[in-house]
Amino acid sequence: MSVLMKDSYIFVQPGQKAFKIASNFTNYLEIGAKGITDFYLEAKVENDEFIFNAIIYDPKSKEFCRIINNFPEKSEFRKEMTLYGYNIFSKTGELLLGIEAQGEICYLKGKIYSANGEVVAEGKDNDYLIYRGPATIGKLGNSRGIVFT
Amino acid sequence: MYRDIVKKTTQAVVMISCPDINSKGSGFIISQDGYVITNNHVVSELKLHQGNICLSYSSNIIISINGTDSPGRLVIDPNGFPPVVYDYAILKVEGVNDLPFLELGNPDEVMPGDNILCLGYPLDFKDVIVTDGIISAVLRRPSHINSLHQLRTVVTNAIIHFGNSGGPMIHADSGKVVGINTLSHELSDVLYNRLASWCQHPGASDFVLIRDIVKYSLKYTYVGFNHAVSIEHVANDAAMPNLKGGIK
Repeated sequence: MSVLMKDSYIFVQPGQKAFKIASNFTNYLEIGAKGITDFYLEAKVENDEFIFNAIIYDPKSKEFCRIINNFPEKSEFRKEMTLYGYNIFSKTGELLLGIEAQGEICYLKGKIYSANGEVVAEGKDNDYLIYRGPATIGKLGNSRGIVFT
Repeated sequence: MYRDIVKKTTQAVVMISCPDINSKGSGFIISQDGYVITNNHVVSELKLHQGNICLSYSSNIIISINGTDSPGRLVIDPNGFPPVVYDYAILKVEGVNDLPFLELGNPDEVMPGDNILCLGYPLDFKDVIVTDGIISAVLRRPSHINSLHQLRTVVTNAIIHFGNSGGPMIHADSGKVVGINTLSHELSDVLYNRLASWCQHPGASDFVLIRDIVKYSLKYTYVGFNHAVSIEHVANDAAMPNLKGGIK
């Protein structure tokens, strides 16, 4: 028997800045492993700001782009500011990473692909779903929250 | 020093293994007819299911009582009781009526400085291992899975390891259970390195609940995993990808 885990606050309290991930709220998300997997996304709160670092892949143009502290390294991956965040599009106009801050909650949009074109994570209905690991949800000091290997 | 208490209590400490989810832990018998308490995280695992996090229970719980294996059943009716915020679960061994058992104490009487014993089956030991210590603090801290909720927690210097989860913390004076061994911080925080173990410290009302469950054989006893939050049941376990995770 299984139950879905929803609405948990993982290393964060209501009223603090948090990401909505897989129906839960957390202060930190890491998908992939730096230097090991061909996909990577890190979302954290630093100095009261939502910060993203990532390696995003566009399966159509077969190009990678690094996101460093919310900025894409390549200009072909267009960053478009919105009222409450930003969107990063591929060359062909697909939304790969979108951020929308509503109050203290940050919602993620777009799709993270692995190099073989598999969707690793995607934003859907104001939620961000994770389809494969490794992934860490929540981090406080040296303690990690929920870890999928 | 604690020879009598250890002698009396070890018979009621059980080893729990769930080969289907590759989990192992400890537990303790609380009634002659086979009710057992352990940590919820001993009998469940986290998985990703269609992008969401899923708590999946073992379907093969084996309770080893003094070296004899018996199948255990999770006493649970998810449609019944509202979940509460502790990481403990109640299991039942069927067809027994004369098991040694531990008495639940009054957690409200526990004070820092009291001597306690932690019992369980850590690492790969096949015998009950006893460690001793004092209660270092009784406090409330955010649940390790859901910060929204505060857990009553006992901090102790008694050492617990992987495999101790779900075992009893016993008051050295009364010989009664006053906590459930839950977490060890030796890997996560330098300050707590080999210093602090976290044992859940259910309130007196929780022990009343547990006693009622046992006394009246209540069918609905979901009491685990710290989510006093909305949960939904996943219809199709078979569709679950084999991606396992856990609380670190």
